[in-house]
Amino acid sequence: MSPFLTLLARDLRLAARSGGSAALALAFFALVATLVPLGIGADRKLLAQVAGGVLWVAAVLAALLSLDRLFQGDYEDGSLDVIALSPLPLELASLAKIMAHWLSTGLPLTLLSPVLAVMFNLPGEGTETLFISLLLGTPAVSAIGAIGASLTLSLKRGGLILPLIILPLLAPVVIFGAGAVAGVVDHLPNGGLGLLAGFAAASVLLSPFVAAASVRLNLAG
Amino acid sequence: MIDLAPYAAFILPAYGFSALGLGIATLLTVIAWLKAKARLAKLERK
Amino acid sequence: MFRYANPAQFMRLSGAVLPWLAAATVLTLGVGLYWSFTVPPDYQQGSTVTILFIHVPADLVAMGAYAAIAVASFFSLVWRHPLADVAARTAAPLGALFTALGLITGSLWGKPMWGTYWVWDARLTSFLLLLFLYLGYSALWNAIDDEVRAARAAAILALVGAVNLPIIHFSVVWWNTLHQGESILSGKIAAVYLWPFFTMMLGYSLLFALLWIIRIRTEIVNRRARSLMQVGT
Repeated sequence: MSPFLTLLARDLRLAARSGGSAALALAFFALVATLVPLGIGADRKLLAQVAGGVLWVAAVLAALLSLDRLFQGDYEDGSLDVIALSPLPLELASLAKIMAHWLSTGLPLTLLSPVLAVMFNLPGEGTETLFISLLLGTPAVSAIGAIGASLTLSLKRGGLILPLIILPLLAPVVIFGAGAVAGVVDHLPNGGLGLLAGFAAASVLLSPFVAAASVRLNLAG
Repeated sequence: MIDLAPYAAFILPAYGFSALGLGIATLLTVIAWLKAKARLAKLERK
Repeated sequence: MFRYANPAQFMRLSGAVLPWLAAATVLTLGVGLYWSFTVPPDYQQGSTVTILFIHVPADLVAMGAYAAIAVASFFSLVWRHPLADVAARTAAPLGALFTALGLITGSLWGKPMWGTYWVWDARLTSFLLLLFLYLGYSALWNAIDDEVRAARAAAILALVGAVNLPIIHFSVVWWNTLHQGESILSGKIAAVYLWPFFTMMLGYSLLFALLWIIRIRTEIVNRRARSLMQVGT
């Protein structure tokens, strides 16, 4: 099996083992989706209008939960040095980690979203758009998140500044994703999904290079 | 001078906050410089 | 170009320039303030136009400072320019301050115009996100103990932020058109306002440069002091 796939499989196994990050992200996602109506009231029309935004923010926060461990675990036990020295380029290794993170958080969140959409009274096509937007956008969350994770991998309490660093960078994802859903709900189609796809593609393509650079600088020190 | 009358409640705080912020920044910057110089002078005298 | 890389050179040059810079700053701001308060009121905005004379310069310096940090970060990563790290790190709190002042003055300008202290228009929202970028950048510098690592990490973050900033701004503008936010008043400035405008812009820029240079000098002095302490004089 190629070194890329080996690393991907290993990271997935680790994610499954350490408290099941997918389960945690899903639970968090569902909890936020439950708390918000408790906070703003059960007006079905209102909920349908805010659904895109609320669920997108919830998804981003849920994906954030497991990000700080993306490189940190391997850094602490020396595996990162091994990975860096292996024939697999660090950029591809980073991509493998990004994919593993998405498969264990972003994808499950996307799959759960239609259920939560029902709780928000989102009409059918709104749910469809939400699903597609999450499918396209959560890889970007993992990718940009990986940049933050690689910059903070040496910090014990790095998890605290990680959201501060990457949430501003994720603003376009939330804007385009939620905007696309709102457009469908209001019957005013906008190019949100297209913009989201473009941004996500760029993020996934470029962030492995940035993450690799960050890993190298941390290992060199 | 321009008549601030109807909007003074907005203009004065705007200038006030700006003056305060920039003034404090200037003060802290200068104080930090003076402290640094003093410390270096002490060390170089040793 | 790297003749100025030598800290001693920088200290000499900046020391010579500083008094003039300080004088120019005081003069420019003084004249600018005088003009700001002696213009006629605007036909649309009334006397609140005076707020623009400190709002727009603050915004411009806020953006300029981030650009400066991005450039310094680039120099730091690519050419390992020794003063680049210092320049970048010291510019950040100043940039954050100007961003905050831009937000405050923008909010105070907007209240008479739009009726509320905060509107989610494209400019204010973009600058709010810029403030967070500044805070994250400084937080990263402070969180990493190893100076060299901190410098490199912060440099990477600054460049990622710089690349993202136009995209963030575009997405905010796009978002604003979706939700029919307040439109910014037309960009045409009456000629009579141009003088206070440009003077205050110059004044604010000079002030930033002044404070920045002093902070860089302070850091250079502190580094010298730290190395002396380590040698155990």
